[in-house]
Amino acid sequence: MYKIIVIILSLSLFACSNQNKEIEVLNIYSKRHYQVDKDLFKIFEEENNIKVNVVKASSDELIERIKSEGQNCPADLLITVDAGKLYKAADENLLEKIDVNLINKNIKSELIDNNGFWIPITYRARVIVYNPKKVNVEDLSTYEDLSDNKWKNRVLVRSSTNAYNQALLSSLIAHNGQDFALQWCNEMVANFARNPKGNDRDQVRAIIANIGDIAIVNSYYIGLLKSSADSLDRNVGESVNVFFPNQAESERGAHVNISGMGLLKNSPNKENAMKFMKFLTSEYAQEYYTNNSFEYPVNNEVEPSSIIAEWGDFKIDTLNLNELGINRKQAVEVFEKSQWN
Amino acid sequence: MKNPNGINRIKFLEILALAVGCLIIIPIVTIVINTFSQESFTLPPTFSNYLTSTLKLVFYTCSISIILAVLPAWIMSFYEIKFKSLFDTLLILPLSIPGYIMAYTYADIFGYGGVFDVFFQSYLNSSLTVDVLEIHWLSFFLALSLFPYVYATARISFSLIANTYLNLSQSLALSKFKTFFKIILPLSVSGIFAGTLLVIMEVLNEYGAVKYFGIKTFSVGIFKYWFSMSDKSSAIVLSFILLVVIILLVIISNFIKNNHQKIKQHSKTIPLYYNLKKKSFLKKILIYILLAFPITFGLIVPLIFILKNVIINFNNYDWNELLNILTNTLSLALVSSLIITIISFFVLSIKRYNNSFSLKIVTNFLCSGYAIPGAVIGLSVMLIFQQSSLKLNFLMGTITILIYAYIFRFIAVSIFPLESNYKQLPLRFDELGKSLNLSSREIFTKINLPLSMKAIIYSFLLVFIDVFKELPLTLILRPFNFETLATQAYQYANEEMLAYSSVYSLCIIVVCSFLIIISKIFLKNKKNVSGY
Repeated sequence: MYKIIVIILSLSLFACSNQNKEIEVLNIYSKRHYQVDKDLFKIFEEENNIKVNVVKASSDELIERIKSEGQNCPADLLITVDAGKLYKAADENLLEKIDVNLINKNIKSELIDNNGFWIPITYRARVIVYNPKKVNVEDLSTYEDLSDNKWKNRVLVRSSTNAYNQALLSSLIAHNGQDFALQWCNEMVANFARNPKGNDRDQVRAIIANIGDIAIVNSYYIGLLKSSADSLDRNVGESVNVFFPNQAESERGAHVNISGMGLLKNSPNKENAMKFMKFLTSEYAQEYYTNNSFEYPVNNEVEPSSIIAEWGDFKIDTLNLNELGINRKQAVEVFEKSQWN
Repeated sequence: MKNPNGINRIKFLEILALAVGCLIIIPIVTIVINTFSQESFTLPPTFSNYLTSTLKLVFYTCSISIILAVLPAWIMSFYEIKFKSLFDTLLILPLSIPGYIMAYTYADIFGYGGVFDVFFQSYLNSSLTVDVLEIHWLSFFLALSLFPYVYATARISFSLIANTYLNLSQSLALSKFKTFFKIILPLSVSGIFAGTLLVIMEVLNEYGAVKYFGIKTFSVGIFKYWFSMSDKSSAIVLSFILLVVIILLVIISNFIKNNHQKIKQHSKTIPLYYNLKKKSFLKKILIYILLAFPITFGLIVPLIFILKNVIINFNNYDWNELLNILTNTLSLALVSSLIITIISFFVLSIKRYNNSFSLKIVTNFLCSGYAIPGAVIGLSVMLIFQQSSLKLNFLMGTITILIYAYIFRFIAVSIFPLESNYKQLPLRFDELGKSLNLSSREIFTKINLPLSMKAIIYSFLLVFIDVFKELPLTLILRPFNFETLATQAYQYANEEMLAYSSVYSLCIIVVCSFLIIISKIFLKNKKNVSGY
């Protein structure tokens, strides 16, 4: 019995010590778990001879983990898919300011953090997709208009626990106030074709399955469907059209959000982190992103992939992206009150 | 136990057991302290929504699990049928498919472009998609992977029912239907409830699938309040309520178990089988359908679908990575389940010698870890390290912390079989040992340990299977570049890449199935050793 205990303890100690300590490393906490990230990390490793270590989990969990680890936090960079979460990390005093010009001078000005805590990697719009057989494109105009009675039982969207919807509602609150947002949500709930559920792609599939006529989704999902290896998915992608809301001259533009990265205060490998941020915003990496994940490049020198370029240019909502974090709590409260599942 | 040294040692071991127990239940204590240190104990405004959907999901899943499990268990226990041991094994195997994989797989089968849809489109030329993203469908999918818990316990209970009862019912000319409802079922309530309790705990722990299905359960609520609304106090109140419910359930289960003790005393019995040959053809078919239904939908259909995905994408997989992740998962599961089994056996053995009130309480608390959503455990572990002045946070991101969280989460899985084993080992063996002048250490090593070996290995296997499938804790607490089969399968499925996820799911299913079969064979061969 005692022998067994000794063996186990030594085994577990072995397991604990079994962590690679290379000379040049970069430690990343990331919400993104796409193949394209993996590919780019590998290219960076080979080019710079820096080992990239990654932990992937949800942004909230990662932020909580960084707080728990305190001074001992081994991570250099936090990567999220929502400016709101980066704002939260900065607000919790976890991030260090970075001069964006040291990273890349060609980053779209609308997407730069005014407070200087984070750098965008890619961006996407939360668009309306519609069934062209059932929807006259002239009926579509703004996010606000989706609460109109004409869309009764026709709107598809995922649940309110999803960060993309929370970010969209945060932007609506920033522009129109909390009362308006609550009314909008209540009217939206009445327009739902079904209870919110599934992910973004499921909303698009539900259009083809005739469950509803329009859906609110992130732009890159349509690119992914269109380029899918699965012919049925390609069919889904081809059968719907993309509409950018709030484009009229008097309007503010379509809601966008970024994937971005922040340098952590206790980052043990700052130089490597800077190198890495330069790499991810470089033309090479930006092209790789847009051609594989169909997000929009944040580097002005890089054109969007042809698949998403065919939807044309669109006006971006120039709202300070930190507002997506500032108004997050109110957004979730509004969702709770509105019975948006 | 005769000399003062022996008594001291027992005392020391008891304190050690208490200390280990307390160390493990720190996450619960954190929740409780945090709850009561709040200025006001207010329920979140939409509490009733979370309560209703959680209760609904639990109720539906339990009901379906019981239906799927009890009838086959009855047939297997009281009818002579062909391929009995094969059926017996197949009815346990759905346990190898994690609930979230089951749910994602079925959502895909029934969704647009799924097998079901394609069938209707190509053969009947009509588009018919079933919207399965509903709470009752989710209950069905979860029940398909959880019913074996009820099946296993019901099967054991049925096999313990003494012949006398059944003979009595026959001499009273009760129909089989009446015998089942009036005798067999009431006599097995404790067993069925024990299995159902495990189902309830699994459902409360579910996170990935409920989120995807858009259902507001407690675990979703805890996350929402904690993070999205920065309302830690509501999250902690929700966790606390969950905790109280679970402890109540454990107490009820113990109460029922104790009330059934007397009946089990009659358990030595020669099995009585109804002869299937006398049945009409229709009844025979019905019996086989009842057996085949849960196997088909709980195992064969999802397995075929996953296999199909693996075969189609065979050339796209990174097999080296798979091997690497498989090794990670195996070694992690091995180390954790060894530690967990040893700790729980140690605590229970001390409890056997000295059933003090404090030890009883600690063991009950230990059992509640299983019911707390893994993600909440992960968070409370992190809270401990945030608050502690012990400067232990260098442990974050190491395997140690992950294993610690596993111990808290899964020690109940190991305690249940070990405890029932100890309950069935008559105390007079210990007394016999004492009368032979054996020291308490010798009683332990020469009598109790060998007689419990079967239960120890069995509980090790159960924990191993659970750790092997574990998801939320691993996701949040793992070290750099560390993936397990479950995290990888989940991440791909979550990113809507079911095809990539399939190969990892398949590995989980194959390894867990293998272990389940081993543990079954093992149980069978060892049956006579301990003589009960």
